Amino acid sequence: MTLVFFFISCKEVLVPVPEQGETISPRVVLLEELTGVSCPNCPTGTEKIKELKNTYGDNLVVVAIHGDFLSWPTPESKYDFRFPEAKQLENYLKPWLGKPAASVNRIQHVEDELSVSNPQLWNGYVKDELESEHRVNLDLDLEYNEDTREVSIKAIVLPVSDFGLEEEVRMTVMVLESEIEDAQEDPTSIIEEYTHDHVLRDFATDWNGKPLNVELFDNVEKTFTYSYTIPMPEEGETLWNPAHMEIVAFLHSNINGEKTVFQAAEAKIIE
Amino acid sequence: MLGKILSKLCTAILFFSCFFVSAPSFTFAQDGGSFFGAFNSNANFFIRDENIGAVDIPQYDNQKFGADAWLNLNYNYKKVKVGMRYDLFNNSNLFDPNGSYTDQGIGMYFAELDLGKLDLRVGHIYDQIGSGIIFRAYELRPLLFDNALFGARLRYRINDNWTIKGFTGKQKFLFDTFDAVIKGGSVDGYVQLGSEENPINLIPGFGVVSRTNSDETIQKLVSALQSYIEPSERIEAIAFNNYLFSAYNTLTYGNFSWYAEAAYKSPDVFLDPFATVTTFTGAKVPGRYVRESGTVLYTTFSYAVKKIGITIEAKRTEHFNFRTDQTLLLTRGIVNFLPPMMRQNTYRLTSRYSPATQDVSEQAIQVDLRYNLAKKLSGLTNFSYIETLEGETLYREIYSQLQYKYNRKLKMTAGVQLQRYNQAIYEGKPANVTPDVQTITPFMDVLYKFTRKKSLRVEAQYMSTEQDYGSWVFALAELGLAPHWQFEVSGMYNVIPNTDNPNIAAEVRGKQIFYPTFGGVYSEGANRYSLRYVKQVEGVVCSGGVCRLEPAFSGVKFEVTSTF
Repeated sequence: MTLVFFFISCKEVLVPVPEQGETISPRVVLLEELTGVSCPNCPTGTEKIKELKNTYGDNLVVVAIHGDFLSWPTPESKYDFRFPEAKQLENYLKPWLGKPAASVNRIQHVEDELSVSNPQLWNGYVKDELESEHRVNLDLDLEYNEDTREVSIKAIVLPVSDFGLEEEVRMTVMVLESEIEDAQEDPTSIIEEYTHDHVLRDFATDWNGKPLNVELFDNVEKTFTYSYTIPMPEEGETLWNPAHMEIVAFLHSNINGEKTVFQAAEAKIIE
Repeated sequence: MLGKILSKLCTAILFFSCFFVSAPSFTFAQDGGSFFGAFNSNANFFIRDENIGAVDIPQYDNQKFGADAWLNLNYNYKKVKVGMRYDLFNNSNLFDPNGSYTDQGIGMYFAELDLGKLDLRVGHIYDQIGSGIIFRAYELRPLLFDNALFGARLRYRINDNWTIKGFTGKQKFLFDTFDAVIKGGSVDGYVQLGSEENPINLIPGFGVVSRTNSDETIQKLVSALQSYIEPSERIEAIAFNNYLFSAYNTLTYGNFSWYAEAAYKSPDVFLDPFATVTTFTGAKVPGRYVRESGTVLYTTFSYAVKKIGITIEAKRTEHFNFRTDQTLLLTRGIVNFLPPMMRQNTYRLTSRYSPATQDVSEQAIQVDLRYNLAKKLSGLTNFSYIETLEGETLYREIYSQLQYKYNRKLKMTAGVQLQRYNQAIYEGKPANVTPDVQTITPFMDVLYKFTRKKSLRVEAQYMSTEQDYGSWVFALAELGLAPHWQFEVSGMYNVIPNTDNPNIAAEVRGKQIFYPTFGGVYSEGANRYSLRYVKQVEGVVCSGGVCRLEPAFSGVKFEVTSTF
């Protein structure tokens, strides 16, 4: 009888898959990619992110975190992208099942994953975030002093809703570097000249941000300033090249385990 | 969360109170029903050790302690059975070996009624159809895998030989359920042919299972599929439902037994990790949702006479990934069970490389031969071979051992295992720098009973390999002081390490490291307590055919098991 019911009821209306449409939103979403040079599946995630960046353009800010797991250098590596704060951030973005994984605005989209290990799902989560409530605008204004290698960072915050002190809003400012040629494992081999983009290199604030310690009111602009001095590269290294570096800033909450990112912004150190 | 736990606790208490109240008294006598259960707890004390890579998870960095516990309580009274299980996880590394998980509550509860020809069960259901290829709800504690169906099951005995059952529910996930609805049923029978002296017994069955996706899963799939730009890769529409069918039969005749099962899965969207997807740059990267139907053919044949027994097992799997939600990965949301096709090894080094069942493309054969060569000498030889449908070798094992019982005091086992293990596929490592692991592992095991109460068992194994971590030696001594005590000491040493494996972190690569374990077990009646200091190398841990990569462990393990 069960079998009969199964056969009778197995015709259904299929759900069509439309082509990817354009999403217009004032939001800028932060995608933190947990990656590693010894992670063979990570180039798949990186390709997915390139595709997302192509789709969403300035609405998406990408950070590649080489924290700890599968992030150790390969025998062919020239550099080690790991540093203690990146590892702390990788742990902070747990749980995740494996790499590659990505956190989209630090929202727990899946019950047991803050950072989602299935790259196929990232597109949907970015789209969801772009369509969710917009609460604040964030812009960056950078000034770079070539002599001192100091970057002065002005983060201009323009809320479109109020933020009380109880929300404990924080600003995190990250220092990224792109166009780094170095080794990367992929599913078949170790690619010796792989281009690493958006690599998290340091923080201009604490790795978990700096509390704003002020209330933010609708349509009242506030500016927060930070600074960062770019280290000199070690002899023979081509790292810490300001021409390939960018600053990423984002506003996020830090209350009762809530980690939500409200808005992100990025700017190149040398335009 | 607390409200949720309390709600479940109340439900469970209500279950028990109903039946205890109706019982004349709470006794273990037949009239009062029977009350029984089991308790199992593991406590792990984590000791950071950078030399072996036992670092960088919260337990090593700051939590230092983790525990898991399960308490099963069951009560049977006349035609009623009720049961529940309280689960506790405190900073546990069982759910995610690289993370920490804390929660507790009623992990399982059920009530079962026997109403003559009909029996019904509500709550959490553990069951399977055939060998589990289209549906199996079960628990694997070492991996914290529990995919019980939370719902209802009806089973009707048509007559003495035929039973029909149907079920529906949602798959359990920790203390919650996934959203998809799973439903199915089966007809199982028994037919006897031939004469009474030489009967041919048939145990046929037919099963069907279906999953109805949740709206959320459909939305996630649509978003994923929208980004496919290459026309040949695009999927234009997806279905909420899919269907699986299975026909199976066991035939026994004299010393022969033959089980055969054929299963079919209707076209379904699932993530094929080997299919490539074209990105906007033209690059092709692995991992794409495909829409394919699937099949599994599985058979076992066994024959036994006085001095010899042989079992031959074969399986062919194509596109048979079946999850409650197709966006889940690893062990999450698996609805069915594909039988593993290799020997379940127990020695430390012979079980180091275990192949996980492949659900997209796999064909395999296994032959197991057991024989008595003389009164005191017996042996077994096992051969297993697994490859993809395209012919790429995944796993090959030849295992042979001889057992000699010299007298009642002395028993010796010795043998050798030869393995080839496709580490790139099974552990997702880059193929060109990850050669197949090829091992030769001789081993011996000697048990000597000094007296009826005092015994000593000694194990020695050597794994020779040039791949992965290199060659290992392992030795163990176990002193048994019946009926209460057992002490063990063992060590594993990377005797010839592989110095240029890029898959091993530079901090650990090429190091010769000793991994000791020592401890004791105390048993008293149905209670067993064990305390061990353990250093364990990273490796693949498999349980019931499901495997995952476990990081190294360093620390102290305390375990209690008790039945009542």
